[in-house]
Formats: sequence, structure tokens, C-alpha cells
Amino acid sequence: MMGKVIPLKENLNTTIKEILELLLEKECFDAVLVPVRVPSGESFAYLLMKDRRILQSCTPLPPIMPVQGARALRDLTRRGNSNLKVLCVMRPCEIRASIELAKLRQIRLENVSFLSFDCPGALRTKDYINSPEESDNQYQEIIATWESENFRSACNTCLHFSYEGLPADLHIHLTNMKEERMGITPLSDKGKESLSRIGIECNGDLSGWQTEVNEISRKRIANRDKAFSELRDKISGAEGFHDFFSDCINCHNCMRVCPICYCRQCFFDSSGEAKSEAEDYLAKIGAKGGIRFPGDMMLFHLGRMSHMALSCVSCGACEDGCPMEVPVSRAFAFVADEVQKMFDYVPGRNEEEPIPVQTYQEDELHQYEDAKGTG
Amino acid sequence: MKALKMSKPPDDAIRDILRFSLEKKKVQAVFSLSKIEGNGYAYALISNKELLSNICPTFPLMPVNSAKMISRLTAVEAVKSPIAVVLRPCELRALFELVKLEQAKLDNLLFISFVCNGVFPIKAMKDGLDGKLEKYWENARIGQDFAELRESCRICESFVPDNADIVLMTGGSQNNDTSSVLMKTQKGEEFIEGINDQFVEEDRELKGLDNVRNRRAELKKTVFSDLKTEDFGIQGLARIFGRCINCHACSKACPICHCNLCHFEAAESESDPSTFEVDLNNRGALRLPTNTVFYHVGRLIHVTISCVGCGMCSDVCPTDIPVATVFTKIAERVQNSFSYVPGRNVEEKIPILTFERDELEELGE
Repeated sequence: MMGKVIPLKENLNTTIKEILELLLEKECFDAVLVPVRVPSGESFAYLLMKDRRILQSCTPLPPIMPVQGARALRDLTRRGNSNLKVLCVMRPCEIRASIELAKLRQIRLENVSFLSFDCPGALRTKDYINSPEESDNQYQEIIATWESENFRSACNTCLHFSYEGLPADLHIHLTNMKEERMGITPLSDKGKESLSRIGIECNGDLSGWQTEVNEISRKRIANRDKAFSELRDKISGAEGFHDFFSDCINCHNCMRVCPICYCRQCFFDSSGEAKSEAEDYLAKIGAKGGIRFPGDMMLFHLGRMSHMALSCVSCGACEDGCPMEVPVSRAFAFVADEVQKMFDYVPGRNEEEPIPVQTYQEDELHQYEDAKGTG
Repeated sequence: MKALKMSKPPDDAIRDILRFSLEKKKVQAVFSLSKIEGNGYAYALISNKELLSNICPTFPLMPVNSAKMISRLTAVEAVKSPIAVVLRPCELRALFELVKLEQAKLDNLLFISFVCNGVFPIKAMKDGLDGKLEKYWENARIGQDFAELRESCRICESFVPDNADIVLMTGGSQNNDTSSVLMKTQKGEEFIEGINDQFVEEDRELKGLDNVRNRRAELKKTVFSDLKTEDFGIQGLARIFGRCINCHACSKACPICHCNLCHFEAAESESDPSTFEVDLNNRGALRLPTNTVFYHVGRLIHVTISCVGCGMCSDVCPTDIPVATVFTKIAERVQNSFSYVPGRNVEEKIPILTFERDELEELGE
């Protein structure tokens, strides 16, 4: 892996900012999509910026991910390719979600490039909002040590935090931050060309940095195995699933913050589904003697799971957006892992790779026929 | 006024009344907040009287504003035979607004409501209310504020239901072990006719409640002035709504926001890449997703005239924006300028749905 090791100037964000500035100045890109602190200071929002002076205010690596970047990019390109060459500065899970949305034709990637970085994880948005300064300090430490108990649960079990299998154009390595330096490598021809245009020569060998990545991966795999085995017992069967979601108030906010759930109107919010004739509700009561309002709580989560589990990048946005703090992302990451393994599919790996539910294979999944004795 | 004296707490009194009405086939089903499996609470439509033991109408939680649920039940078609609905005053007011907006029908519904002492934020459903309930009822009895309740409830002056057929006194000077059940309408009287309990003449309806109302009005003044909407403008809006993540949870939880597809989620609110290009050239930078602050302005315009101040919007906001405080403050001014009280009278038209030739002259031509 050839790239360049760059000593930090002031801090990480200012060092990345300088590179972004050069990329705009040398017209490698027309605009940059990057997080900026909001006016009141306690959160961040994506800004598409062209003006290099405005770029001064950006925070390329914020401690939180209040809006999943794929949703920002979707807004920009849902109706057509961007006329401008845009560089998106995003976490790996945001890039992977963008690739999935491109497959689902909600994002158009022509003229879009990605700059990714090794992502230590994101803090919970509400925690940050309640104490921004303390969280900022905490995050400085996290970037150096890669350890925290305050991440979103999804981040603690994330295995896709680095560049491997990530279709980005440029990547920033952050696993040697203790030594006050970062690395940058091009992951595509476009990336290579833009680095050479801003005078960054990729003549350093960064293969050694992989050691730290492997070390972190090992920890994450252990976290994941532990979390998933605990969950397996908890969530199995209708009763376990129901108990897991028993605090759910049916607000559907997990769906609205999910980068993959893109339907303008969810089936479960459609008038036919949400509003029936009164007599139908009364008929539904039937032998049970009573029904819950709103209904379909379990069906909603199961429906959403069956629609998006294959493309789920386990970013944790669902859990972050849940007003009841139901551990939604844990259930979804667990099921997604199983489903994706079943189809040997990794969401966001490659735009050309079709989502398995969109393809037809005559010979597949025979093991499930056998399990039912129908094979 | 005719009242029923029952020597039991309000929830038990309501359970008795509902059991009686199901047994006598006065209603085919009842609708109430109910305890569900696990540790949750949800509204339920119940026809089996055995399940009435699960209902907890005055339990201080509002997982959803039930007006939205009655809209689901009646929007397509009115209920054909009677259902008794137990709900809080703000829910009943929201329902009346939904009827005016043609999203619900009142036929065959009988409303039971109560003097509302407020609810805890929905998160309390998860964290549990152990140890807090006693204090809640004690504070309600002596008319004290309880800082752990929803802010919307702490500043609500409309906690006595206006339009219910049957009203239960709770809190105030009431002893929590006895319940006064007031029959406010003929429908209410007929509903209770035949029940085996003691009827008395009751005139103490509002005693002890004026203090509560005054205290809440004072707190409201402070809360509203702390919000500083005077310097709203674009800067002020960006200050308050800047951290909004565009999830629109506030609109989905709002009983008044009834559109199947919000304008801000519809294709018509999206822009072409060429529009983004022009905007970016003009401004140098653009926030994505777009319309973050504009969405709130749009919603303010659409809902403030009918806003009942239930506080659901703040409760569901994942970034803790004080949505309800902004909305109730602006709603108060909007409603005052039309002398309109949402949910007061179902026959009264919503001002934006009517045309008056001579009005709002103070705003100029």
C-alpha cells in the first residue's frame, strides 16, 4: 500500500482541511461535502461547499454522525447526476450506504468521489449534544487509543472501519495517531491523479500500518462474537423478538434515519395500512379480546428487516434516532450479518455487484429446502 | 351537576364503569391506555371485559397522542355501534381538530376524560416509574409542580376536559381513594344509568384547580420568555433548529400533522442537480439534506392554529430540540390573534379554513 505519511499540523482536522483546500484550489473537485459544526455548537451538519473560505469552518472527522452521509448525498443526486465534481468526506459506513443506495437507484455516483478515513467509531448524538466540550476531549483520546465505552453499540462491533473492500478514492489512515501523524493513500486512479495534482507524492510504504488495523479488527471480532451470541438467545422466537422491541412506540423513526430505507412512503404508514374501516379493527379483536393501537409493531420491524437487512451497513443510525433508546441496531446488525453471510454478500463493496434480492438464481439456498425436508 | 361517588381510585372507577357498560352491552368495545406484555404501555381497543384489568387510563404516560389512533379507527368510516373512549383532555382537543380536518368522525363514540395532572416523558416508560408514582399523585393532590413531568404538561392550563361526556376528578383537593364521576352530557348520563353506585349533587368541580392553573400560567411565562423567540429571524431559527437531523419524528408524532405524505418528503420538494449548482454558486455552501429549518417553518404555518400543546414532538426528538416549547409559544400568539381555541367546539371552523373579508387589518393590506 503506497501512500504518504503526513505529520499533523495543529491537529487532525486542520491537517485534513488543508488537503481539502488544496484539492479545491487545484480544481480536482468543484465542491466538497463535509460536516460542519452547527451555529449553536452542539452538533454537526453536512455542508456542500465550494467557497474555500467556508471550508475553514469544517470538521472532517466529527465525533458524532447525526445524519448518515448517504442521506445527504441522496438529497443531492436523487434526481440526476451531479453536474459538479463532488468529493464526499465520509465515514466508511456512510460510503457503503451510498453504494447501496446507488444500486437502489436513489443516488447517482457519476462525478462523485469519496474520501474515507479509518473510523474509530461515533459517539451517541444525544450524549454529545448534552456535553459537547467534554465529548470533544474524549474523542481526541479515542482517536489516539481506539478505545471507548461511549460509542454507538454498532461501532463497537464494526469490522469495516478501514479501507479494505471500500470503494473510496482516497483514504486517510489514523491508526498511528499516537505519533502525531496520519497516512494518506489513493484507492483509485481518480484518487491517485488528484493527489499528484496537489503535490502529494505517494512514495511511502504504508503496509506496516496494517498491523494496527489487524489488531483492532481482532478486538472488534471478539466484541461482535460476544454481542451476537448474547443476542441470539435474547431475540429468538416470537416472544423474544417481541420483548426486545417492547418499548417501541411505533414512531418509525428508525426507518426515517436509516440510510437504506428510502421509500417515500413506507407500506406501514400508507393510508390503506394505517387506516382501515372501524369494523375491520373490531373484527381483528376477535378471540383475543383486545388489540394494541397502533398495531403491527412486530410486523413493521420484521418487514423492515426483510427489506433492508441485505444492504444494512450497521451504521447504528436507527438506534441513535430511537426516542425510546430501543437497541434497534443490535438486532439489525445481528440479522444482517446472518443474511449477508448466507448470500456471501457485503453491502457497499462494489457498485457493480447486484443486491441478491434483485437477482434470480435457479440454484441457491438448497440448504433451507433441506432443513424443511422439501429438498 | 349530577355526580357518581365511588370509593375507589380513578382507574378502578373507570374500570368499573367500563365493565358495567360492556356487560350491559351499552358499548361494543372500549379504548384506553393499557398495560401490555413486557414492561410497556400502549393504547388498546378491548371488547373482552376480562382484559379490563390491564387498562390504566390515568397512568401518567402518553406513548402516542391517542387522537391519532381514533383517527385511524374512524377516518375511513364512522363507528357503527358505540365505543367508549378514555383519553386525556389534550388528546380529546386534538381529536376535535382532526374531525374539523376531516380525519376522524365522532359518531357513536362516548368520551370519558379526567382532570389531567400531566405525564412523564415517554422515555420514563423504559426507565420505569418506580418510586415516582407516589410523589406524582401526592403532588397532584396538593397542586404542586413536578419537575420530572413533560414541560408541556407543566405549563398546560387546559387540563380540565371541556367536551367529554363523563369527567373524573383526579388530583386537586380530591382524596385519591375516592372518585367523583361527573356526567357532563345526556349521553354520559344515559351511559351510566343503571350502575349500582351512589349518586350525589356535585358542585365542587373547579375547587382547588384555579391555583394549579395560575401556577402553570406563571411557569409558562418564564418558559416562553427563556426561549427568546423575539430574536427569531433566520439566526434564531438556526440556533434552535440547527441540530435537527431531518428525521421528521416531530411531524409523525404530532396529532395535528395528518398528511399521508408530508410536502417535505414528497418529490415536489426535491431539487434537480442544476438547482443545487445555481444555489451553490450564489451562496458558496449548501446544507444537505436541504430544507432543515424551512421544514419547521412550514410545519409551524400548518399546525400552530390547531396545536393543543401535548408535547409529543419534543418527546420524540432524537436531538432534544425543544420543539413543543417553540410550537406552543407561537401557537398561543396565532390562536389569540384569531380568538381561536383548538378543540373547544367541534362545530367551530379552523380560521385558516374560512374566509373573512374583514379581519387582520392590523397586518395591513
